Amino acid sequence: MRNFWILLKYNLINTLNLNKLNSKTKEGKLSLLMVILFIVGGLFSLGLAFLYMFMIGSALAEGGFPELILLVGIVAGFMFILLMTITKANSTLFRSRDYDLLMSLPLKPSTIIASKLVYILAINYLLFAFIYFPTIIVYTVFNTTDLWFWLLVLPTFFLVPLLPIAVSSLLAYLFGFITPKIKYKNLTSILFSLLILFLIMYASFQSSSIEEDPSAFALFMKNALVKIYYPGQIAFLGMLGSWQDYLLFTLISVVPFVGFVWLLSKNYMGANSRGNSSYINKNYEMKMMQSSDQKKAMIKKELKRYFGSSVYVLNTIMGPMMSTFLILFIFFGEDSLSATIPAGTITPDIISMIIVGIAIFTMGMTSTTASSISIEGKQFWILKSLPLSPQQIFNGKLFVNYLISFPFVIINGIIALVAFRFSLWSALFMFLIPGLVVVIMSYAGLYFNLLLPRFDYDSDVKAVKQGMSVLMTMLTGFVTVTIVIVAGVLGVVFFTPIVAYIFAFIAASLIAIVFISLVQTHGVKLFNRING
Amino acid sequence: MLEIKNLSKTYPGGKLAVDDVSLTINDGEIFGFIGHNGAGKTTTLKCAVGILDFEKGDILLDGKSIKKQAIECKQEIAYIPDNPDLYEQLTGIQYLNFICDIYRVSTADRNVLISQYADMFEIKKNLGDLISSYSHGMKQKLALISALVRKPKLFVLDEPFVGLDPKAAFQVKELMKELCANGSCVFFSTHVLEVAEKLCHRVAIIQKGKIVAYGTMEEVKGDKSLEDVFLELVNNA
Repeated sequence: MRNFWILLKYNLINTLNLNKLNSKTKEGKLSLLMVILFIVGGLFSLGLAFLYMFMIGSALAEGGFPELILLVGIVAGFMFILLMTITKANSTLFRSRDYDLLMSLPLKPSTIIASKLVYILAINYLLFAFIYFPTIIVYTVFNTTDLWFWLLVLPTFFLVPLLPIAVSSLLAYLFGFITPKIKYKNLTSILFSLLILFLIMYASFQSSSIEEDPSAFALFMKNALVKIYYPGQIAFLGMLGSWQDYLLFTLISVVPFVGFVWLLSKNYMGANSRGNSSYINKNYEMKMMQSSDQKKAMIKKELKRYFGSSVYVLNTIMGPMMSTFLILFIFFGEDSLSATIPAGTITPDIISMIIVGIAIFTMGMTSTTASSISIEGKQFWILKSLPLSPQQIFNGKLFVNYLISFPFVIINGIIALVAFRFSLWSALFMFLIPGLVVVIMSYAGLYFNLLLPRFDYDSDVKAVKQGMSVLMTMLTGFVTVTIVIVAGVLGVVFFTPIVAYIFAFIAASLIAIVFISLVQTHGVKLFNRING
Repeated sequence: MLEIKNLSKTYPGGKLAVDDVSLTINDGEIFGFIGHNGAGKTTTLKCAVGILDFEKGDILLDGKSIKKQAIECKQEIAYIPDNPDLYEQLTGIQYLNFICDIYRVSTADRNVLISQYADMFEIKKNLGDLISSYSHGMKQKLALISALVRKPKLFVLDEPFVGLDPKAAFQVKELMKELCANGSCVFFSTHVLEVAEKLCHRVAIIQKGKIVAYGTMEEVKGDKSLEDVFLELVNNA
């Protein structure tokens, strides 16, 4: 037990970079700033979660099923933890870089596994708290509670994450058996994860008829939630008074988790050697190679790096993909805007503005460039030693974000133009404004990553999701979209829709010029200053 | 010819890693750079190849400054770090092709040279595999091939023999001699004093960022062994 606590302590110090917080250097101050930003962001997310739960709770109460909010919270938590752990379990349990070090120490495999699983649990409890506690507050607003309910609030909080962690870790464990035989294992993982995410998004958008028929919505929710996660239903019934159901829920949560720990402690070495092995081509024969120019070579290298990391792809491609998904859903789904609002109520100009708004909001969520310098990690020396100017290197990195974003800008524009009769100006700005936001996000992401690179990581997750540059880029995207929308709204309120577009275009152009200039001047200096 | 003139490098934390170092490495010369851990060897090498920026002094390759004409200089340099972290998502052959594209190696040359060096280092059958599946020695060999195919004027190696099997280590030594015979120069750091003694035309010993001995092998060691001279200098510092 002593070893377990020692391992956990050093794992947390190392993973969360706690030593930097004590440091009086520039890096230490930045870490402190990051903690403050995370706290602000956390409070903001908590507020948003509460608002969202309150809206769902109101709709359910109106439909006569106020207690269902509890089921919604439990099922949402289950899905969220399942998705978060699928990518994390693999890198933490089966492909961790400290495996050799830990296994060389006089420690039992079960102690190592326990410390890793408790780390995963701790992270998930933290995230689950953002869904669960707002749910409990909203539940108490719309329902009366008794002592039994309050006694079970905390045990339920601790029990819910156990099953999704066991399931996703087991999936990662089983995936490990086939990965050494798959040539394109990252691509398989990316496609598999995207499929799951889109199924969830599709299912969640089926619940759009809140205002039309609240009771039908509530019934639909209940049926759908039970289908998604049956243990959620028994936890829900248990908390409402059925001790038999609660006992069953406890068993369903604890037994698979303990079973997984037992299975893994028996096969930990095998699972890690599978996790660290790759597809080997036994009959490789050298073929004639084709040459490319420097520009193409850099782009090919950047694309290989991008698609070589499933977490990098999943974290950055969702925004652009979601733009098309949302536009299709809002304008062409069963409960679309055009189906629910009488013809002629919304003018084509307003529709085009909604489309531009959706596109810039989703495109402004993230950028591949925000972690494109950090993702070089220990290979950064290669870039620094190449006979290329920093600008040539930047172009390769910017191109990746253009490649994953511009096709969606064009698709969105074409879908809208085919479906609605827009004026020439609306059509033009429908491509130009989202396109400019993509350029802003590409340059802003690159600039912040040059300013705040992070190379001391043991898993891509930390470079892609936990870098301060990513946070700064997201904030920049949020501010940019707000400025562009405000400029557009001022234009439409005081002048005409075309003036609104011109205002929005000028605002976006000015922001783009600022970030392009920053990258080309200060960015080059920052690149040269980074120690590879 | 590589000239390092009064080079000083301080890291952001304030640590002076290299203090007023001056060296000249002539064409056709194998130059050994010796020093214990943290003495400033790797920092000097990284400054010489343009990976690290420096505040004082200059580094010239055939009269061109690595600070002012970085791209022209880098076109003529091949650098291999002590722990070659290469792009693990690429296969060996993709990495070599990438390097050839950047250094503009002709299609004909790259096909011949890659095949020749891959045969020599016995990793031809592994070139289709991801670099992430390579051992440390295989990565070292791949990095060496990537350096050799671009026929560099200056070959900079940081601890080149670590991780190599005896046969590959022998081949590297022979290649270093061959490169020098063809007019290139080799600048490498090492802890293995016997290798330096046998291989180098000239050496420099660095201690706490300063050069404490510099010259031909005979000038530096006299009638003692290089090991004795090195230990004497280190212990008296």
